[in-house]
Amino acid sequence: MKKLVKNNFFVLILVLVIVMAVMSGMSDYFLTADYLLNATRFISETSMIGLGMTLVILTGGIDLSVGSMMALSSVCLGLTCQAGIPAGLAAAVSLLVGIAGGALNGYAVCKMNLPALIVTLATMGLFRGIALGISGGSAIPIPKSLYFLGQGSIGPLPVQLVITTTAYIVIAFFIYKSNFGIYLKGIGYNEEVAVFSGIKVTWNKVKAYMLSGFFAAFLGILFTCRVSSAKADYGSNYEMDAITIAVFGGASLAGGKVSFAGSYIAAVIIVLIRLGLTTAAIQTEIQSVIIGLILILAVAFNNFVASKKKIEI
Amino acid sequence: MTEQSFALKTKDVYKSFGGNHVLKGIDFELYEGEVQALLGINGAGKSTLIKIISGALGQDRGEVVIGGQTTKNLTPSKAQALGIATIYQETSLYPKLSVLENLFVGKRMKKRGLLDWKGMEEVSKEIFKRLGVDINPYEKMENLGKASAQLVEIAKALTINAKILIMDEPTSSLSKQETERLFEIVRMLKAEGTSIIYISHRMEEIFQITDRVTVMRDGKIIGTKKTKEATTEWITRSMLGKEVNNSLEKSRRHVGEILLDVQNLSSGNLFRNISFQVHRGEIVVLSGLVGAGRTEVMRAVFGIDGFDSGKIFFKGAPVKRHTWDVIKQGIVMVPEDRGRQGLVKEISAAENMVMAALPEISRMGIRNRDKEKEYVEAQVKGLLLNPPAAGLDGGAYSGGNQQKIVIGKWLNTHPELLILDEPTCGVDVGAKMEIYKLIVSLAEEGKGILIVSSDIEETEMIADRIVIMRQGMIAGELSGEADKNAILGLALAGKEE
Repeated sequence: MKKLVKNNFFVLILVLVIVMAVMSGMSDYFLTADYLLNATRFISETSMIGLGMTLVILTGGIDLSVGSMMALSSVCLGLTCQAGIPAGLAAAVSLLVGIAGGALNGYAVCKMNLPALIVTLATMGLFRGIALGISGGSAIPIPKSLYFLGQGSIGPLPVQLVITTTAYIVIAFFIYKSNFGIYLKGIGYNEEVAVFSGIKVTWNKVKAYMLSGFFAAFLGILFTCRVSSAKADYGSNYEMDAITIAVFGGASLAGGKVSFAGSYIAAVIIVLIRLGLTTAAIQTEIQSVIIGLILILAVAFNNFVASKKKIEI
Repeated sequence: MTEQSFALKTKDVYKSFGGNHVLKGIDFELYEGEVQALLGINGAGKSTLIKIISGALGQDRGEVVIGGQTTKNLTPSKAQALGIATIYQETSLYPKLSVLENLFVGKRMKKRGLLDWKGMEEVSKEIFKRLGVDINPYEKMENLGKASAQLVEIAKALTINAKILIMDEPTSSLSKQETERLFEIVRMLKAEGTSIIYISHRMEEIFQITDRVTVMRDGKIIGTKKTKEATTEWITRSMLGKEVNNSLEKSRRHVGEILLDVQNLSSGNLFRNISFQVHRGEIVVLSGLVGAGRTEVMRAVFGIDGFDSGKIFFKGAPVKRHTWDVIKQGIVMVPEDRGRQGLVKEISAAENMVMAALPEISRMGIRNRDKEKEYVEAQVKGLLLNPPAAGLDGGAYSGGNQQKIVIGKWLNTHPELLILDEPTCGVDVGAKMEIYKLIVSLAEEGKGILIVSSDIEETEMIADRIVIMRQGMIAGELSGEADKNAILGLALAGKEE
């Protein structure tokens, strides 16, 4: 039992069960397939923003620009579609913008050795500003052919759920199976050893930031397709959700230690709590307070687990 | 024997990490006002015992009695309150703060709610006077040398009125005179009734300064003797559990063609006009004083830092600029600072040992766990890693075994030239010999070995050729038969200028 309490993942599942129990007590609709399947659309969006963040935190960095990148990607999709570019190509352009934005973050952080917190705080403003500027702040309709990505289903499953879950599995598997994974872990725990081991530290870190930009842009597309139009104010405060998910999921902000399964479950918990609070007609301001408290508790809990482990070494 | 009271006593203390039993029933006794040596090779359990006594670790079983008081859930602050102070090998002082600020970290004196700097200054002056040293309390720590830092550590222990002082290799970075001064202080503290646990690998110091000797091995206390009655043979035998053979056969090796050829390498004011060569099958030691620029040259060769001018060739071809390419060419480097540069302590030994070899083991960036296992097991066997398993976190191994893990990491890349920067720093006698033997056998296989070493005895024992650096320049070159005085002469000459 003691061991289980120290196991972050077990605690997450426990919290999830409690949240589910409380929610189903609050609403008769909650434990129905329709409600839950619909909820997975939101869950998938939130967990996707956490995926990129988890990768960046693995290297010991942080990416505050994800929410703004999501908006920029959305606006790019809207504008390119409006210009008559085929939908598939337009989506590809948005993804490329995400990768480029991530590369910019990565270059400034890793090559110029600037603190990630400041760099991505700056690009958070930069990306949002560009998105507002090129769209003029107005909503841009997107072609109906794209609706499928945000509103369609594959069998009974919402498209986002399939895409995000696949992305998580692919990334988690890749991190476990590839050199890239152990390099990121080594860099996160001790960058100097990685340098002395001949690991291409800068390049590997830049790749993590590029992936973060990529997933933020991907989310921008999915989100736009769900709400049927592109707009520059999407994704505000999403960086907060992303960090909460990663840390709640078991990541150490010092780098080296993350859990992809943990991040995924953490996203489920946070979205369910939010939906539950909305169902119970609690204002969004108070919801933010609650999510903020969860973040603090998660960090405290992780520290507690880490201190227990340290003593054993 | 007259009855003496105990300053400290541990009763049947057990401690294990995972399944690894580190302490197996320790009954350790320290009298009031005695200096007791605690000896043992790395991994014997010394540091674990010290950590338990100073409250940094909790024991699984057994008791720690301090000043007649049985302690419960000892923490570092509780231990401090009971008068235990530990002076670690690497000082725990803040370089950017003043001596005074360092002395009173965590126990600032206050007067009417404000910090009482005057009062603290007076106390510090009094302590320095007692120690017979002259240190300006307002000097920044980073401006003081290692010896003064060591003295500040002792002064810090005195500010808490330490009754039990634990000194871990206190002389490792001190000169002869500084060591003498330290000993005077130790004698003075002892006369005042302070008990001291003295950890050192230097035998002559043990005989000079301690009253009793306790030897640990494999998590047990092998024996405690009065220093007067102990012999070097008894100590080494108890430490190792067998007779030691402290000589290394310099085998006749075939020295082949030139592997590494450094020509007129210069970099800013770090080093100038450095030229030397390493041949296949040859052990070259780069000797000199700490700060002579040797590590900086190695870093440049290995592609960690750049350089201004000069050329480096490996097997006739220019050495590439990036570390990952240099490794591919066949040059690897075991860095000076194991904890910061050599080993990721938080991941397993196995992962550490494949980290650098992954480009060779993996296919298209995808890891091959079976092949990794083969690579790791070969090193665990070949290097006699202890414990002989690679699943533990790197930080869980003793110093000597951590070094083996770093060496194993590099052997997995099949290098032709190994650069080892202070390879036996912080490694005990037993593991030292193992590392020397390993180095010799690697040279026999035809690899080139380039060692940076400040240990003259080590240099004398292992080198085929000695290149001496002084103040960023090559001071001279000697054959492996050269004696200590010649090496020291070249390393020191002109230092006064």
